[in-house]
Amino acid sequence: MGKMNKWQILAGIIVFGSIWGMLECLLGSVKFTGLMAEFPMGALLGGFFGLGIMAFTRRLYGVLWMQLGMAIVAGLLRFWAPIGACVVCSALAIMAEGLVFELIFNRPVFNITASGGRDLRNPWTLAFLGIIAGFAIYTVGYMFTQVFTPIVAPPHIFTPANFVAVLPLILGRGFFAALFGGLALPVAVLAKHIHLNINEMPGKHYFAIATAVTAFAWISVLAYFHL
Amino acid sequence: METKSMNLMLGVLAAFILVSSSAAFAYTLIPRGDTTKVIVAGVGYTRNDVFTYFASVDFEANGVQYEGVRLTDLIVDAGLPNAAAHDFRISASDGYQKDVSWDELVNGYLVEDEFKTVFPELTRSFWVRDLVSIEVV
Repeated sequence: MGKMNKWQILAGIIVFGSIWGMLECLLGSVKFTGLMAEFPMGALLGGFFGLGIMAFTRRLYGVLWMQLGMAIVAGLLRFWAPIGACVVCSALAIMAEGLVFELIFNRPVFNITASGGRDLRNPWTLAFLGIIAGFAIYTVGYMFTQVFTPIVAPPHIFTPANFVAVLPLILGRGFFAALFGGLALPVAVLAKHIHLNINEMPGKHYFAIATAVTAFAWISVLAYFHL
Repeated sequence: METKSMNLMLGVLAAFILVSSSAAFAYTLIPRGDTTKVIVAGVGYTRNDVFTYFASVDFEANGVQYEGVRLTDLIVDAGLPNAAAHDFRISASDGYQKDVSWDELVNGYLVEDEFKTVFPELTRSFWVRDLVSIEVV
């Protein structure tokens, strides 16, 4: 396929954003069924799947700001899953997670693409960076929901005292997101068994697979929550 | 940046995050207040008292049927004067809390399952588990 054009990058944004959004909707709903009520599912979604998918696609495509686009797609899909206190706030939180990723990994020193420095081939460096990124992505997203939910949903009042009271919970659950992040980043960047070279994939195959996977993700969410 | 110095810097920051967040997590596990009872406007009720002495009513929230005690019954029983003029802070054993007005409290219930508040007209963020107190703000 040669050098990626903007349509191929756009297709990548939509397909990987849809996969991420599908995981957010389907795994996120498990908590509300009463199963695994004590499992830190939010930390797994943000610290492992969110960071993992964004890091993997950064490695694959090497395009800055693409991951924010994926987060927007994932957030849009989240609108179709009526779970949690405030659907709009959850969608905004996912978009905030994408922004945090960009703010960290757009710095040349943290370039995790093939053209990046040798430093970022060291598993320990990646694990440390994953801990920091996983924690930051999850806690910022969580804080977003705690600020916007009381404003967007009834009673439409943000109470600073309530936000301060919930900070230890946010930071405490961030511990699990940090651990998941420390695992996700080295796996996403260094996994030797992932030989997916999209530059060598014929264009028609690329778009056909992207369309099929995107359709699967959106239909899964719509069928699960609305049928 | 040299690999060694970058590793050191990232390692120190990662260690700081792990230590401080695990401390925050441990902090949330320490119960605030007595988890065997709930303090309502300064008056203590055991969990057993609540469901023995107050009438339970059936209601629906998010498509699910519940049975619970009206929160306003607890406030009235506690003898708070001019209760309707106050706002209230609902607090959980892990430190989580939410502020509600009297008008919102009127539509709130305390259910036995997880000893939690349920507000059919508010979001689930107001469903406070392991309730330990309802105090005037």
